[in-house]
Amino acid sequence: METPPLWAVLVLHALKGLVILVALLTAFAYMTWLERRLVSRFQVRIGPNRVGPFGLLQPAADGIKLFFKEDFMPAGADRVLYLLAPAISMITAFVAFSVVPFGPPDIKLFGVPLFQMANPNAGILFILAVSSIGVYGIILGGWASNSKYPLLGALRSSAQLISYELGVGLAIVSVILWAGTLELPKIVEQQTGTWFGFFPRWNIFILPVGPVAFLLLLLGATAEINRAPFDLPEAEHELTAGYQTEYGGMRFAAFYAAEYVNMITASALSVALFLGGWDGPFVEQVPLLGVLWFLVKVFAFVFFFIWVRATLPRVRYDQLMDLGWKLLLPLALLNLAVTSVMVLLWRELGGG
Amino acid sequence: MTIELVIFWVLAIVAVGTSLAMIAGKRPVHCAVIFLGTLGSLAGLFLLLIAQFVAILQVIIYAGAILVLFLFVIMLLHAHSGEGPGEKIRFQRPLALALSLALLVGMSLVFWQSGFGEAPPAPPEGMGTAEAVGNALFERFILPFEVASVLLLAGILGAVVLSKKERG
Amino acid sequence: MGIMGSPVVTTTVEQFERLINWARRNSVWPFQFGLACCAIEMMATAAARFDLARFGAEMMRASPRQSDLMIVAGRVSQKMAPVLRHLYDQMLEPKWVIAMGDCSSCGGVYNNYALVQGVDKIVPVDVYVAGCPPTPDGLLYGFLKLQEKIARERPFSRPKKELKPA
Repeated sequence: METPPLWAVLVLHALKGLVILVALLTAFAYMTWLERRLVSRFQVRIGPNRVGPFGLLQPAADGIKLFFKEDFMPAGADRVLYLLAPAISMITAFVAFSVVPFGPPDIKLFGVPLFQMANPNAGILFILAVSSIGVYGIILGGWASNSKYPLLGALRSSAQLISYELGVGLAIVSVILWAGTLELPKIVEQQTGTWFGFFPRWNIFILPVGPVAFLLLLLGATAEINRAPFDLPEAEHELTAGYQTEYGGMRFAAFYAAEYVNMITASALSVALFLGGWDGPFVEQVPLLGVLWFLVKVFAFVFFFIWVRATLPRVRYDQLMDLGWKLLLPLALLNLAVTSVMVLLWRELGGG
Repeated sequence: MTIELVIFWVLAIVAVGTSLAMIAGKRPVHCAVIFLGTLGSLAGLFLLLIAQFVAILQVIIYAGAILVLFLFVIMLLHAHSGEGPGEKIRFQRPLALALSLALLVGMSLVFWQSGFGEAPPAPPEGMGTAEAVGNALFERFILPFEVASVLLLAGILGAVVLSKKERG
Repeated sequence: MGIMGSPVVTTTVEQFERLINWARRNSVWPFQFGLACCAIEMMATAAARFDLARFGAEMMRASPRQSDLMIVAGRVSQKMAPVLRHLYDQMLEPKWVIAMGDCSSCGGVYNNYALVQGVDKIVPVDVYVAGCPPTPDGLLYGFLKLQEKIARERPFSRPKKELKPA
């Protein structure tokens, strides 16, 4: 096969990025709609249904309204940081998604894998690194607003993110130990196939450590993306709206978009690490079906996050910290130790 | 001029420039944010050496954890103005100058001895991957690694002692 | 005349204004606060039976910067008045006010020194909802009236709202 021209590859990459960006933005818009509809259903209400069929134009109305709100900066705010903070939040949220594989890597055009934006050899760590930069959006936004509630929200959220980053990191490390690689597509590929001919080889089914690591990641991710019941940085009963109190209009929308895109990324990461990514029935015959399976699994996670928000009350701040440091972290360490022993035994016994 | 060299110079100038700006800055929060730029360009330099793992560790540990804690402390202590306290140690500035000059001289000597004109040796295969870093840490540098962990443990114990003190 | 007077431009601008009005009236986010018993009815309006969410207005924002509609639900004491005005000033344009109930519309039964006799003395009110307290249907009707009012606005030549002369 001859090498494709460079411009074709570059154009293809650019197009791919554009498509993913637009898809993520659309997903964000319709997740707000989905969340409002679902929460309404959970509360025996109807939810937005007047704007377009089933209220489907609601996100458009919200977007246009926010776009034409007054442009505003609080008195005494730090100009540069105030403008920079939402941008940091949003950009890091989108960049983090770029290493998520949402389809089999074999499907290529001009030698470019179509279903992943980029594949660095430290893919998982890349997501962790970018999300740790995302904290700056929250901290700086809270500080630059020159107001008390945002500052308190920012401090809370930075403490929360640092605390839960450890648990999440250790849960991910146990997956890395199993897989022996940091590349997400390879981790997913190892989960394809079955045990005993019918049982999927997903990481969550590796007993006893798989389910534990999965739960650790799920809890930690819920805290990292500031979703209920861990949405303390924006707890409206104590802190008005947390770090985004002084933000209105499109800048507020940027923070909001970052939150939802982070939710998608966390769901996608959980799916790729534990639920076999694009693995599913008939994927070997029809590889394109993998994308569908992946989207179905991610949607299940998004639904789960919304469901949890409608069900559970917000925890207290000290409870949050207790959970993170006194339960999740020791459990993650124990899980890691058990995983290491299992991996070593497996190798000694000559397993693959 | 190869593309790598161009990127190297850009990153190097950004790194030095942001470091200087950080030292010269008035508000601690701004200094911390500018320092983020320094860390980013250092990570970029690691990437140029095809050490992706080290680059990402740089971002996770320094930018993601340490600098966030710096910001945390700055905001807790000087929430309103974001301005730091005045100098506390009398000979801080001259001492800092002397020490950094000594560091500069020492590093220049090292570079001088290794020779300037020759092309740098190509980094060995697999340098900076997770495997290489792990092997180096747990085989060649096991003693410094353990010593560092004891040092960190002492730090943790110190923090516990300090926070317990008030209750008597 | 010039280009601004030409019919094409006028129609385009009108269409654009219509789009903005459509977005604004379908995405009115109320400010999350209540002052007295009317607040209970306001909560009932947002809850299961009446469901304000159908009109896209259940996004009660706790921050004045993110909300578009201030529902003054209850009597406003003289001490609360400056706070109310401050919060109104903190909201970003465009913003609307519903005076919910008799007390906030005109003082209601509290014809005394302690209460502001009608919240329109401190903030410009768009819709008054009568009742003591008004039923949730009443508030919903007021909200629909507000939507109609927003639909008639001209976003590109928005007149400044004036307080009623005291």
